[in-house]
Amino acid sequence: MSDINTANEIPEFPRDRLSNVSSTTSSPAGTTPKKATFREVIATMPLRVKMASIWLFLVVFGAIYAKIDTGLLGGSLPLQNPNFQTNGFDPATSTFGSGEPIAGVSTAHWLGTDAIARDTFARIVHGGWVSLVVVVVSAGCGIIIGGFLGSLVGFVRGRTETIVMASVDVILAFPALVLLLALVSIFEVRNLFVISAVIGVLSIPAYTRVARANSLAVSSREFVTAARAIGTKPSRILFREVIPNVLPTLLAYAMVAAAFVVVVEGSLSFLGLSVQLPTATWGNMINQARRDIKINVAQVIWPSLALSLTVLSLNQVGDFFQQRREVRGSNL
Amino acid sequence: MGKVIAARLIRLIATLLAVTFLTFSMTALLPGDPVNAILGVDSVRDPEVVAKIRADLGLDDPFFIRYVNWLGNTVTGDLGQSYITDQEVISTISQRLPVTAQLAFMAIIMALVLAIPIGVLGAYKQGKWQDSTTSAGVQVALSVPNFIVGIFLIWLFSVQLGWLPASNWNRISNDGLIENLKTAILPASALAMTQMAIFSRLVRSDMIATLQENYILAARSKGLSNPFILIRHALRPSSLSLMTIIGINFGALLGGTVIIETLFAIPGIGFRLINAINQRDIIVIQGITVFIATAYVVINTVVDLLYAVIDPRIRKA
Repeated sequence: MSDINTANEIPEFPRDRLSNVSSTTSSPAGTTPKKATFREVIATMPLRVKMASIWLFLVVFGAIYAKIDTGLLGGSLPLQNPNFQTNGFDPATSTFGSGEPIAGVSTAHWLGTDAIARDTFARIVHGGWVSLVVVVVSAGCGIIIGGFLGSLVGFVRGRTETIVMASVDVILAFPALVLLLALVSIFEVRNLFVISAVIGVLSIPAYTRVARANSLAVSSREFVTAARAIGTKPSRILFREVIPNVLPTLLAYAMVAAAFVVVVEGSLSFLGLSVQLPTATWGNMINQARRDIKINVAQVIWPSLALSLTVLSLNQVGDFFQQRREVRGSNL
Repeated sequence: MGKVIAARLIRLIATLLAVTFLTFSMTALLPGDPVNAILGVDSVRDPEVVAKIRADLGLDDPFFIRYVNWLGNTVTGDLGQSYITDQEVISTISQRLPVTAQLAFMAIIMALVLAIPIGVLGAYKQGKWQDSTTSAGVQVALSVPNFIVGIFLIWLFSVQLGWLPASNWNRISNDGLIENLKTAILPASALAMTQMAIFSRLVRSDMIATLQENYILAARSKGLSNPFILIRHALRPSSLSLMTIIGINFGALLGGTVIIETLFAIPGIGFRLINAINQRDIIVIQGITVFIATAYVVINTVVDLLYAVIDPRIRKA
């Protein structure tokens, strides 16, 4: 609806002049509008988008920090071991640890401990890693494979387009989570590689669709016609003209898709069908803690909050960038 | 109109063929001998059982022949039988379908009942505090996954208040409608939350556009009351897009029932699917996946056709 409104307000302006009129990144007619600098993007962000970005940054930082800690440095950084049972039996001293299971907030355990006395804060920080990897792999697969396929078929059209889009439609004809469950069930060993690969492959169709729609629009623009007219090779037009113009939209879409992917991975984990225990994920933490919800609801709240805040933040940032794209896109 | 229906039906059949083929290919993706996957590697391998499964599934035939045979059986309603529970897949589905359908139906109704007033309010008070509060609430509802909503509903209404059961399912036929609703209301609410958010966003943005139309101005100048205009004049056009979005979202809703049924231990199709996945009961997984995907594709086709019935402009396209 909003596109129609903006189109009605300014119908008679030629498109190349529009960028001078309405965008802050004004540029002389005939040259491509200057890219907004990082600082300009930040300045135009509403407060909630800024807060969302900060939260996402914290999650990503925490996840990488936690991975470096356990993966490279053997746990020497200041963060507790997410799988250490603080009340567990220590063979070296033949005593049990002094930790309490399902404890509340304390200085030793910032968010308390779970049912087998593991530090909840450390598990939440580590849980971000699974979400991060799944999101990155899914966006990577989507943008690289889906983006390329979509740009290609939107540009060359013809039978290739019919075939590719028909297969895309078939995959999108499944309810996403059901198809994912069916595919995941094939694998006996479910590790991070398998889960992110399956989700990555299933991400391709949606990106293909978005890329094709944009590629269709870009391919009919004057500069593509001009490039064709001067005899540029089609492959060069595809890589130099079409794909660079489709890519920003795909990146904005990736944010919104990421929110969906985080929920999907969370749901899989919650069902116990994602990465196997004891690896911490927000979904499996919620699933484990809900059994003791009568004793301590806080242990359910923390991972739920982490998951929901991340999804909310991704939605906020994604909406922001998509709206920017629409505004900039109408200026092109 | 006839042409539209024919074209949609042809597309429906093509999509269904492709969907069934894809689902069937899953068994081909299984690593190693499918019999191993069906029986489980560590189960006792009775050669008689193995031979029976091989014959049942026609594993010695080429892949394509197997697909055609399987498709023939599927079309006649024979989805095979579980080698773990020995139950026919189709009877499992027909037993459990009413439960899942009731949940999905209740969720859509609840979502609509909540979403329409919220959306209308947001559009009518656009930019005011009523709008920004409801929009923020909708954003949150959109971001909290349904299983989290479900857990906190259980915590509030079962653990803290003790009003409703935390799990289980009472059938209408056994326990009557009231007992049935007691077990259905929490899971349906959990499912409805996300749908409500999506619907109300749509109603709001649709209505903001509609309220700028000239016929609304005409209705106002006739001196009609605001509620009358909102409901009779402004809401009508939104019903079309609402129908479409219900169709599109039905897939997400079906996925949602899988999780919510598992959380509340409700004997619906989704819970059975998760059980089958945990037991690696391939035949059941395949059967239920095909069933759910078919239902989804058919529902979307029906929505498309209904759309053409309601809005004459679509018929020409």
